[in-house]
Amino acid sequence: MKAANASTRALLVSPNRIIIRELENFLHNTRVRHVHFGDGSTAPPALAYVTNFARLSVTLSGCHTMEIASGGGAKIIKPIRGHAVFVPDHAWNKPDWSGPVEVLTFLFGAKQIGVSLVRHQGGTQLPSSALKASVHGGYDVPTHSILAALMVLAADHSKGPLVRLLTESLLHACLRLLKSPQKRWPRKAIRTYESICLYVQENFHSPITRESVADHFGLAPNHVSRLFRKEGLMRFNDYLNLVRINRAKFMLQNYSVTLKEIASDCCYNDAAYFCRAFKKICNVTPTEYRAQCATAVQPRTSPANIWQRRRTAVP
Amino acid sequence: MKIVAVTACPTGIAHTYMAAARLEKIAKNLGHEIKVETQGAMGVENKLTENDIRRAQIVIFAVDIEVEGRERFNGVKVIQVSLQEALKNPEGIFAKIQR
Repeated sequence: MKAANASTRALLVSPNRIIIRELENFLHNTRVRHVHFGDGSTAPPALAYVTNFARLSVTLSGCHTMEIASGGGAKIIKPIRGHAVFVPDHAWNKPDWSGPVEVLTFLFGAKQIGVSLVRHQGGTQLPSSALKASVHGGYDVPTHSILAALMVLAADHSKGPLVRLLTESLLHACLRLLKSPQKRWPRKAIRTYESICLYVQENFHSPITRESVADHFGLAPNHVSRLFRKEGLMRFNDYLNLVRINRAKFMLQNYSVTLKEIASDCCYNDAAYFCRAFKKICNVTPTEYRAQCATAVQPRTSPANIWQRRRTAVP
Repeated sequence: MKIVAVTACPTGIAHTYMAAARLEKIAKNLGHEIKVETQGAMGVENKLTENDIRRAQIVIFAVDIEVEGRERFNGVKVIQVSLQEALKNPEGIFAKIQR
């Protein structure tokens, strides 16, 4: 075994177990001393990493040199062991992979958490090794809450010990998830139901109906209804309306476009019908909702808001 | 046109997901039907079914590493491009397909 090199060992031990071991070792020996926030306040350069989920990188060894945006300007940071980099959704970072580095990156997706352990010699395009593990159906309440808290602090550019303590807590929460026995791959009905939900979220601005969605998935329209009744919390049409109204809420809050434009962006041909549907779900009219948002002090698109919106959009 | 695609990058952190979003957006603009499987650190997502692959007229691999389950695509027309290309010039890929 002694002669086996790292790559042969990687074949013998599952990536999951190697990642767990590295993370345990890190948390046992190291405290998080500093957390960098990339806030996306400038436009991302070419090939920068921009994702619609939040990411956390922890340098295990070497120096993970990268460019991030912070407070309206781009800057180069050089995180070493004990440093972490938190990049909220839609913000960016651009690692340069120029020197040797070993880094653990956590990806906080809508439904699962991914982890990537990258070892890089530096000076080349490709890493010398990259191991990946994921936790399906990812979040438990502690992980979700710690992440939400970190999002809020990132949006506020909060300083002080809370940020690094929460980051450490988040790592512990992820370790716990990685070590808990993986859930069974969900039933086919649930997978189909989730694919339909995703399809609705991606296509709500087109004139989709229960029939067109059923056709897209090669299902009978009644089967779509049955899936929503059995696996979901509401009927298909209510779900479609909810997704559209959520989009309308975002537009009302962040852009000063007319109600008619918002209605048509969300695929309501009739502005009056849109207002009725909005009131039914939100208990206020679109105009009242916009006025409420204007009085509440909120940044234009805070990452924390984006996060909450996405979480509520997924059933 | 019915298109399926697979994206995968070595670290599985970002480019996999960015390329998928880019391909989906442009395909939709051009009026194609597309489904993109991502093979990143979050595992295989939006997995292509046998049916998806059989119905597709072309498969795009936008990858910098080996595709997981490549044998699924035997007998289907595949074009392979680097992730850089998919991120910088995705329009070019579709122009190539249409020719």
